[in-house]
Amino acid sequence: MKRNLFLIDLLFCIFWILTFPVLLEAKDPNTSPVLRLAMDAATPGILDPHFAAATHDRSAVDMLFNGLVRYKPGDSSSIEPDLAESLPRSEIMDGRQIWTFSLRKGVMFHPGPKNAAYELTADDVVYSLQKSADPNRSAYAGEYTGMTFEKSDKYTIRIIREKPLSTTLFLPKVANYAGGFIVSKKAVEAMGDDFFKTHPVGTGPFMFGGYTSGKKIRMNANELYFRGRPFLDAVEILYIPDIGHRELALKSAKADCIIGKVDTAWARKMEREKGILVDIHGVGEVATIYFNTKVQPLTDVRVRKAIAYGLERDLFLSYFGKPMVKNVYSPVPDHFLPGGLTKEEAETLGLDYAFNPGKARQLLAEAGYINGFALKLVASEFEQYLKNYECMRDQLQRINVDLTIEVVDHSTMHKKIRQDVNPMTLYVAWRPNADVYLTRFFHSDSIVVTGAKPDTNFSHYDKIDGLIEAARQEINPNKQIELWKHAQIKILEDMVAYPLHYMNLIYARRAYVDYGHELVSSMALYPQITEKTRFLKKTVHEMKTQKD
Amino acid sequence: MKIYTKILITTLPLVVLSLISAMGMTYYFSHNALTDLAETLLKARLKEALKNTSERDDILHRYGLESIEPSVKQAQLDAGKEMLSIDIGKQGYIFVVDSQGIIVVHPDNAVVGMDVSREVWFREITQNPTGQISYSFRGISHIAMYEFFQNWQWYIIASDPESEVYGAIDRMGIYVLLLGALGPILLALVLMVMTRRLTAPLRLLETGAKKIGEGDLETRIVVHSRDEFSSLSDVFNKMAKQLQETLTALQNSEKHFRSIIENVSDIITILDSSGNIRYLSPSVKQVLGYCPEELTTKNIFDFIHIDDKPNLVNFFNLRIQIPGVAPLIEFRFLCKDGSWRTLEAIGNNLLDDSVVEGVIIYSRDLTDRKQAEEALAAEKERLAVTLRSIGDGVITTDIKGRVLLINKEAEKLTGWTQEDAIGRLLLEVFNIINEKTRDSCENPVDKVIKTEESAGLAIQTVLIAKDGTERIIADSAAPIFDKKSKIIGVVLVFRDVSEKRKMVEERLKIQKLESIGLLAGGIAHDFNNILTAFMGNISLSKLYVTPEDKIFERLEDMEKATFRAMDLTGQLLTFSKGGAPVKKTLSIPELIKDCAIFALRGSNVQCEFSFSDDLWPSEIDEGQISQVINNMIINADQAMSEGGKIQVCAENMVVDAKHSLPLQPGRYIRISIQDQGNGITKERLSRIFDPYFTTKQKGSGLGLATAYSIIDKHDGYIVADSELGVGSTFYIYLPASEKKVQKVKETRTKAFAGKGRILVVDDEALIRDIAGKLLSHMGYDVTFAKGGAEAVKRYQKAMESGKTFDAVIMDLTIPGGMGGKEAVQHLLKIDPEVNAIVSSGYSNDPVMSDFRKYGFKGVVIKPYKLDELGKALQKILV
Repeated sequence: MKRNLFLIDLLFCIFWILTFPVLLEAKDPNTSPVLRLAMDAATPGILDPHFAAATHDRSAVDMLFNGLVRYKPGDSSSIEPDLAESLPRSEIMDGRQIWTFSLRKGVMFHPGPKNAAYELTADDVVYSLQKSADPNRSAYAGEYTGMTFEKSDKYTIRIIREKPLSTTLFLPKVANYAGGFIVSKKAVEAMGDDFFKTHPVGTGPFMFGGYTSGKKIRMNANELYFRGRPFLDAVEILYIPDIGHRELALKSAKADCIIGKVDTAWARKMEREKGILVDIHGVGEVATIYFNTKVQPLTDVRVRKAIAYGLERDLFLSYFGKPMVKNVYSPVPDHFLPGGLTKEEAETLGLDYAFNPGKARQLLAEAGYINGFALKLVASEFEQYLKNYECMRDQLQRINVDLTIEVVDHSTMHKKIRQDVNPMTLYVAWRPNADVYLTRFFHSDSIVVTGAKPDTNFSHYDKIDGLIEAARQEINPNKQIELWKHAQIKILEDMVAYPLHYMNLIYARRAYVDYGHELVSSMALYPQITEKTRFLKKTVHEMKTQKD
Repeated sequence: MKIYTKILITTLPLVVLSLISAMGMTYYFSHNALTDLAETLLKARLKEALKNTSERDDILHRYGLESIEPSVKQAQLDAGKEMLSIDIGKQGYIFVVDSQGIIVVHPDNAVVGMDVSREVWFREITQNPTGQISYSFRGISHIAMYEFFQNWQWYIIASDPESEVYGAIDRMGIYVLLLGALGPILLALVLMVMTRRLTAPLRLLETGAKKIGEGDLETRIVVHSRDEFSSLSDVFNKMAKQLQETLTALQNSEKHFRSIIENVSDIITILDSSGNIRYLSPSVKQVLGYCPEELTTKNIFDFIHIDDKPNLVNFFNLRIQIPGVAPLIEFRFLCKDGSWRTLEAIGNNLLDDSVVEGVIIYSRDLTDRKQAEEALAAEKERLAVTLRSIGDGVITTDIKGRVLLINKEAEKLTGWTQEDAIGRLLLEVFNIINEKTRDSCENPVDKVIKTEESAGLAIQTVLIAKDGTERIIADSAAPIFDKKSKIIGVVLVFRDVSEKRKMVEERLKIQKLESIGLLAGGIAHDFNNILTAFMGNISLSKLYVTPEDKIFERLEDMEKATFRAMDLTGQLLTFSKGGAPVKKTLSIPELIKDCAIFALRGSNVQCEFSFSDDLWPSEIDEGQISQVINNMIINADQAMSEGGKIQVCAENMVVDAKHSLPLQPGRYIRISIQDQGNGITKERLSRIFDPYFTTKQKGSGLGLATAYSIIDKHDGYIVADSELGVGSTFYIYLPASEKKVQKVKETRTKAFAGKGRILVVDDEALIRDIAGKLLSHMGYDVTFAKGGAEAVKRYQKAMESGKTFDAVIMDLTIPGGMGGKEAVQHLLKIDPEVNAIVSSGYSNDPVMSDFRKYGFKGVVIKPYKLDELGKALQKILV
């Protein structure tokens, strides 16, 4: 049987090698600066930025659109002006918070299928934000509840919040992420929302050039880009779901950059390839174990704490390799977002739950489970889930907690965990700020099935609603962080969730690709291709030599 | 005691006492104010810390976290962190001690956890929930405000080191002490300065009055105040001004008279009755070199020239007896540098004058005037000598054209002596006519006076001397102006340019002949080639017929005609630049005699010879010079159709640089050939050497032109002189040679038939053809080549095959190809023994005259006859 599988794989590889050159033309990167980015998807999804959620779609809209402000390319911890001339300051009038933005002049929208290129004005920004706030036209409408948008003049808009919000929470709503992307009013009105989803028109450094079914989308350089014409002529996003094929494409220089495999061994292997560089960077999706406090025996906090003491974070790391994964000690990852607890803080407060099997067994004994207990869990087939589940299972056996894991496909897992089938749910997710993390995973409204807005509160936890809401309304950033920390201390004290680690993103590229910025973390979940991205000539020569 | 000191003693103690009192009060109130300020600050900061702490505690209670230990700990950490960010001065801070006396918050992490429960100050604060304490921590005194926070059992203490609280006042204490010490000194200084300022006008008045008293009347006392001091200073100033005006008037008067005396150039001397000098004016320095002080008190007669002294002593002794002015007297006075200067003096006896009491002598220096007069006379003499010595003739006239001056050269050229000429009208003395028209020329004096500008004479002006001699002159006339630029006469400068004119004409003639020669030479060269063919063919044709044949007679005529043509071209070639002379050192008389006798055969004209015994030999081309002599003799013969004598002379002559002949300086032989013919007019005489100029009906017009050319090529000179009705004389100048005469043995060879292989090289087919026929006729085996390159190739081939050429006859010039000169060098490389003969009809190349130097063994000149060619071959082959 194994032999047959090997033969099938071999035949498939031969077929791929034969057909790949037809699909992808190998070009001299020096004479034809078109960057080919291979993503792990079979087809593009929705390219309306207000719906784009998948990593490969987020990368595309990141190149096509701008926000009023933006995360500095390659560094998501820093925000700078984008379409706005400067970062705004708020003022409180009649209890309402008013944010005023002055727009850059001369920013041009791409020409679309039904519109010529034209200058961005306040009308477009107001229209775009209203679209983001409309639940029927945006997946992120909840973020804009209680906000109204006004045009002051051609280049000035005002955003009015009924309830004041701190800068930390407000700016991400108007940044180049999700609902903050500004779309072309004329293009959307001319094409309609549905058509716009496949023919995006923005102001970004690249503009939509077309989709070759099942292969790629092309985005051409925006000659009128307000930060200057990109060095690259175009970017093509290649849809190659299989990591092996992506790897092959990169090695044969048919792709210039690929999304990699979250696996240290893979990273090491690629790094050994001549002319290939590997980038491991944030932002990292956080893996957290949520305890269902409504399910026996997890209703007892001693049991939950026993499990926590029975787990050893470093063992999880070994499944992926340390460079790829870093431990976290609070639900909000302090490495990327304000409001998280550092390892030192957790230790000071005694909430790091360092591996202590004796204490675990003692707590189980106190709770009446001296012989342990058994639980049945549903897990995704995805490696980043399955490995964690398996590691957890193996570790908890040491304290006689027996986990049975049912492996299902990824979407089934998502479906089932939202049906509240798991007593313990390991979930991997990235959220843009502490408020979103805490609200969606720990606010009572988000309790799965029974919550007012059922979401991902798999713990059925309802003890920190007040803190979450107070923090959300706090406009002093320091005090806001203190409230978020109190909320997480409560979570940890009650051990409703055990934060494991965050998983970095991994991309590999040909050495001649220069992204044009330092790469630390990216909210767009890919290394970010901008107008400054380019091919390095010297490296190209080296590449040619190597190919010869 | 001065007013200044009095004021100081009175005011200084009062001010110092006031200052010390003020300092004490300042220190006291400042200390209290700072203490209050520190307490207020500590209270405010403590309140702020308490507020932050309460807020954190409120959060715990509000969200039910107060019983959760980590939450409380976090709240406390947050509160502590906030407290540490509160600033109290630069050194102050907030810290927290719990109820057990353990420090829980402190900016110094090292003391966090320290137990202070045993400290007195801690026990003190546990007595009251709020208050103020002073304590010492680690040796530093602090002031602190505290309050107990019940919920967390925290004593929150806002503390500041006393050094900071009282730092300012402590620092101020030092300043107060310094002020106490320095203040009085400063005040004393200030008082001194102020007092000094108040009393300053008094000092000014005192100083001013002293200066005026000492005679400094320029002094003015300036007091800028509106008080009594100012009025007093005005009075002083008025007094000084009046005094100064009076004194200035007196001084001006004195200065006026003194400047008169001191600035006259004459020397004013006052002597006492013994002749001792009492006063000398400063001009003595300029005139005699003495400073007045050097001569004062000395006796004047010690400085008088010994020859003049007696006269002057007598004069003086006489004058001192008679008051009043004495007549002028002249004497010499010894200068400081030892020279003598002549003075003219006049005396005035004022011995009786009570002010002067002496004899005043006014002396004037006459030395320069006397010297100028002498110099003028000498200059006049020098100019006269110069004028007379000048090489050009000079005549000056007055405005009416009368001769005022005439120099020696002018006397020579005009024939008029100075004595005869002076006072005569210019044209009498300077008789000038136009050379061609013989009309009188315009009087140059009139012309100059009319135009007021310099003027030159016409080129052909001839001056007729008093004795009738005519000379071509060049001259210029220029106006003489007086100081007011008014014409007062004319100066005429002229010279004899007859010889110079001759030289210019000769040069022009040579240039003309050279250009014509170039043209003639070119034509003759081509023509010569054609004649070569003619001559060759005629020579051959004559061999094919008998002398009795009628054709023979025609051929003879043709040959004669060809000879004449050859003669003509020969003359043309010689005349032209070509035909460089083939020189040998020869004896001239022998050559002349041979030629003359030969030319005069059958003539009724006799020839007389006169040769110097030591006549130098000359390096000449025998043939060419023979041709010249021949021409001269024939011309002379033809000039005397009815018979007569020809005088032929030869003599040595040295030409120096001054000579007017167009020859380089050196030794020459002059040959003169004089006939007794009718002579030649002057017009014709200037053209006789021109080609094709002839006075004879049958003449070619080339004889004299050729003679001229030959002599020129020998670096010599030929010239003719003639007088109508008397005859003509031709002078030939030939360079003398240092070498000895070469005795030439003439060998006569006959044209013999020969054998051998001959290579004929010529670019012209006509020449190749006739040369081939002539050589074949003589029995030679002939091969042809069109140029040097082909010749070399053929010669090489012949050498390789063993059939070597016995001789090569080469044309010197091959247009567009390798000529004989170059080709012979190649042949010499192949065969150093090659018998090469150079052949040319005309050549300006020295190869023909010096052929051996270039590698040839023989030469044959085109057109050549059968026997000439045969001879040339025989010479090198035998």
